Amino acid sequence: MTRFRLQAALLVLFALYSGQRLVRSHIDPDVDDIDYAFERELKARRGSIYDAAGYPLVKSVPIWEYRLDPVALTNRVVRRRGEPPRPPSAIVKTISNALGLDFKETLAKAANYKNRFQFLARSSDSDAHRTIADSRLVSGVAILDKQERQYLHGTLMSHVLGSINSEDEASSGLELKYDKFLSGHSGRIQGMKDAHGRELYDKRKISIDPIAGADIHLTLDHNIQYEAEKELKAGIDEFGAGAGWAIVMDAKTGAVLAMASYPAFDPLAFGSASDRAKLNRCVGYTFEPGSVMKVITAASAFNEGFVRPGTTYDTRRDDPNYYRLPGDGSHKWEPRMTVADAIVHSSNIVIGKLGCDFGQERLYNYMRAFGFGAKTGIELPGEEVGILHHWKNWDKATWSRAPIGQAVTVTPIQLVSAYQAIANDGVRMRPHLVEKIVSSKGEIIYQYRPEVVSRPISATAARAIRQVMKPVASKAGTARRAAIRGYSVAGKTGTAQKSMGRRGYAPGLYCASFCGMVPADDPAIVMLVSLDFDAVRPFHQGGNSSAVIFRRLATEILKYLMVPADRPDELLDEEV
Amino acid sequence: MGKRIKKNRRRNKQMSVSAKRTLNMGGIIAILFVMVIFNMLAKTRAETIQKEIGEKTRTLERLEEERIREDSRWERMKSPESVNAALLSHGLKMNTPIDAQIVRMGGNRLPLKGQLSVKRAMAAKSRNMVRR
Repeated sequence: MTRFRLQAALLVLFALYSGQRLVRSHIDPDVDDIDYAFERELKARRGSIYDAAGYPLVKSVPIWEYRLDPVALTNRVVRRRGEPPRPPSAIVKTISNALGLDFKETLAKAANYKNRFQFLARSSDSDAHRTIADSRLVSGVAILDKQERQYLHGTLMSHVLGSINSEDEASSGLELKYDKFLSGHSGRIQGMKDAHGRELYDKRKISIDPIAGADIHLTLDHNIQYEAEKELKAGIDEFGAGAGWAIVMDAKTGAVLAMASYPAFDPLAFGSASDRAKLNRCVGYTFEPGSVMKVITAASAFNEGFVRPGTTYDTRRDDPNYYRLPGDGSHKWEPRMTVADAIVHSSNIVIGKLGCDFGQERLYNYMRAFGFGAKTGIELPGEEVGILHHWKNWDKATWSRAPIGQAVTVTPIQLVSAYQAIANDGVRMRPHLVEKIVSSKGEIIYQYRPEVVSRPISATAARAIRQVMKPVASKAGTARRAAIRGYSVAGKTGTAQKSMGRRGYAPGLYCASFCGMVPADDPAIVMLVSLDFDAVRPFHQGGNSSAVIFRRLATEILKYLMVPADRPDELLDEEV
Repeated sequence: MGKRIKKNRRRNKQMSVSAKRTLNMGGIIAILFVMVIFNMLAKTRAETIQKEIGEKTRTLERLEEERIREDSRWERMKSPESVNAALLSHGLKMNTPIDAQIVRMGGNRLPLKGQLSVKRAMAAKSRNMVRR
């Protein structure tokens, strides 16, 4: 009986123990293994940025970071039996060859035992990684998994795309503006590791996958952007300008096809770039537009029926009816000049008089309707507003200066947007860069819908002003160098003196612009090219410098976009 | 005699009860034992599958990362600036075609009239016809 009880007691104990283990293994399996617990944050992959054709412009790419530990350089190389040990120099040679490093420098690092985990390189080369990770060839190199933001076109469109710093914080451009979409959400793992530090997958307590950032699709075309930046840079070098910008916009939708600003910066070295290079002049820089504004004045007057293209004006400057008229930069002098000719020859006096007669309040209202004095709302940080004082605050001199583009400052994007309204029969569309935002699961989070911002002028007035602008890019006009074989160009030059604030204008320094649209009768693109001269140069006029860049760039873009020629007869004369 | 029989019966009854209890207990223990063994086997199998899943997940991640790296490398190689640089290294330069080299097609899939390219092609064709 006693023996039976003992056996029964042992069996009960065994059953209790087994039951307890079963329960513990299912309910709280890791209670005894706290020392091996770990928690890790899983960083989300940052979203990519694509151009209009779906080509990637920016991507986050997994890379490896290699760090050298001289202490562990030789003693951990795994060799087969009979194989001689690898000398440190041979290991360093393998490392330097694989990573493309200087052998002597790497050897010096390997000899510095005091400094452990010295930075060697970052690389995405899989072959190099296989070599370094081969324990029979190399030891003493710590390999860290990292993500690198790769700007696939280098400095191309750096101002638009922006950059992120070494801490993965957005610094500028679209990276900054859309950081919350691009960055995604981090995940988390909580689990156990074995004695070798390897994760025990069956002991994972929490596993939250990271959600990758959304992808942004732009309206920019990387081929047009490349041409824009190439031609702008070539033009700046050719004409000796200090800076410049170019914007190409779809005439019908307001979509920005290219946005170039010079000087540019390397997105991977944003921290060391100068403030001058970091500035996106297309949206963050204001300047007195000069004569390109005359088109706005004339268009407003046409819209009101105040004047017609054939209306004539006296070109005398000392007219007692007007207060301190501006000096005339007209390329042709006649005692009387039509408004159309005043645009073609860029007459300050005629447009100044027209502006005074038209009235400050009306002109101010039209300028506002064309988008001056307000942000365009383009999806980039740091957009400037420009200066357009209320008409009640205009002094008498401003009455005749504002119509010719003085006493007001604009941003390049405002100017292009105003010309887009003229190109689109008076309908100003919201300038935009972002076409859509797509989540990592493929859902469209945001889709741009064309948005009419204002209708400053009627279609009739828009067509009239386009007809007036046509001869500007002809032998008679100020921008004969903007003429494109096979296409009619409607545009206007601007050679604005650079303001020094209250000290007046800087002598000999100009901001030369050409803003136009092609083909003139049914424009496909609107384009602005400006050069900012910070030294006295012979070709400082818009017609001599910016117009040339405009022609070169527009010629390439029209072919690329396959825009039919509206003057095919001109092509027949071409000699091959 | 009668007392003895009664005693023996009680004793036999007690003995049969003990045997039944032992049998029941043995059965429970056996079931528990089988359960433990089954649990261990299932756990081992689960661990093996989890390890497999873990390895395959890592392989998938590695291959996905490899794909992203290769995509990126390919995109860099075919960017306009890289293509131009590659051509220049071979002494070549890429230009957009001049109008004589472009044939613009209309909606009817025929070349638009008045194009230099078409005019030249027609001229060449007529020359050939004359030669014949």
